[in-house]
Amino acid sequence: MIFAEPIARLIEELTKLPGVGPKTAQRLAFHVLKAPADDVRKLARALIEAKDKVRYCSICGNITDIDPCRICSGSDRDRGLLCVVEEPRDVIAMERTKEFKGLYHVLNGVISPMEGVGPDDIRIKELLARIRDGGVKEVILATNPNIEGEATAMYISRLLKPLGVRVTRIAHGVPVGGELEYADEVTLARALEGRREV
Amino acid sequence: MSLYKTEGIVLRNRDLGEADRIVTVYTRERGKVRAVAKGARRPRSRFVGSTLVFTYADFLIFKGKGLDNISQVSIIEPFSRLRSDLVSMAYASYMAELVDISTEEDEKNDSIFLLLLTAFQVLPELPDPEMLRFAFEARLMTYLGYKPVLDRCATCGGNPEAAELAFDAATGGVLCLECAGAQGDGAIKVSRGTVELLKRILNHDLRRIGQLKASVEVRRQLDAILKSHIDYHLDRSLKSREFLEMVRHTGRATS
Repeated sequence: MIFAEPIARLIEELTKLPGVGPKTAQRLAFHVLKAPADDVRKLARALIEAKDKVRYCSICGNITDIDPCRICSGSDRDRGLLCVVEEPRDVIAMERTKEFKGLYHVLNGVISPMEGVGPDDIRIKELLARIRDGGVKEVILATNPNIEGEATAMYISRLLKPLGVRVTRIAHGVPVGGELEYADEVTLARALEGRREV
Repeated sequence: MSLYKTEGIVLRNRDLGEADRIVTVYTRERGKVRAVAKGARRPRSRFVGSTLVFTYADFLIFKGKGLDNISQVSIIEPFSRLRSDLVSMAYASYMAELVDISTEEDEKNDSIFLLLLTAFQVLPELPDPEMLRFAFEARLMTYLGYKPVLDRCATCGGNPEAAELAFDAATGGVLCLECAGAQGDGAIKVSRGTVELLKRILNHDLRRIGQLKASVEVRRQLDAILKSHIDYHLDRSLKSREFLEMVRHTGRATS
């Protein structure tokens, strides 16, 4: 054993983190040793609190520390608009736009025929229940524009249409600040398809 | 270290690291190939739309020490319609997975490549792609070297003239009822009409496969024998099969 037992254990635990190899783990471990005891305690507490206090919102499925989450219980939110996303990370991405004032529904997964993930493995039942409860006028399907996301969007739209709710899909097209010349033909075709009057 | 150019159809994508994607392509020149599309998950990547599943494209691939790297892609046919309809997507996923699990890397097979390409061209046109799926399964197994015996009893070699026959994947094909009885429970009961249809499916022009018609019972039998044939020889579970089953019953609905 080269390292003292507690350091070895710390390195071992750090190596389990994504993107952290043995060398990085070693560097982080020694950084922790040199840091003020107070900072280290704060880090340890933050780790435990994050794990203990964060759970899924019982309404939208987003990660939260209070249930229902701040978005679901927010008074400034348009309750007629529901944005369906794959992961909690997507909620953060949508929130960053500051354009969207509706509510979210996080599926926590995506239908993937080739990985054997079916509609029952993600939160589609909960979505249907929310729509049936009424109040929602439009559902925006904001799953990723890849095969799994498209499959999920198509599947959900099939289920929702008969319920008399407006179902829309986010637009696909050329990235802002990009150049047409470098856009691939599939994206460009979709951009043409979704063109609108100015 | 070298560059090579090949045309192929994307069978599947797998995430690698933070922003990369491992793309599995069935190519005309080299059979199944796996290569990394660097940065393919970033919205502005030039690979983002061109390495989607089912895309038919020209690939320029750099052969490195570890995994190969895709350096350029130019799309020949995006097959967008396979991704914009749930039924087509379910069938195409199933076909792509079947090719993926049944083939080895760097083993060229022209017949399989053309089968996949033709099937993808025909698929969006068909109101009910089930017959195409049967044809695809039967032909793929044939090209892989697992052609079922259909013109005689696989055990006694007798002429299968009777109206009632059986099929046993382990024995390799059709059995007469006497031989099937000796086999035990493994064999599936089929009608002679089903066997005749399977023979026709194997030779029928894939582009005109929609012309072939069959009763519900014959379809059910075809489904059962092809499934047991595939499961026996490939011995791998197909993840997309369950999804296909589910979508098949809801039918085509363009939304």
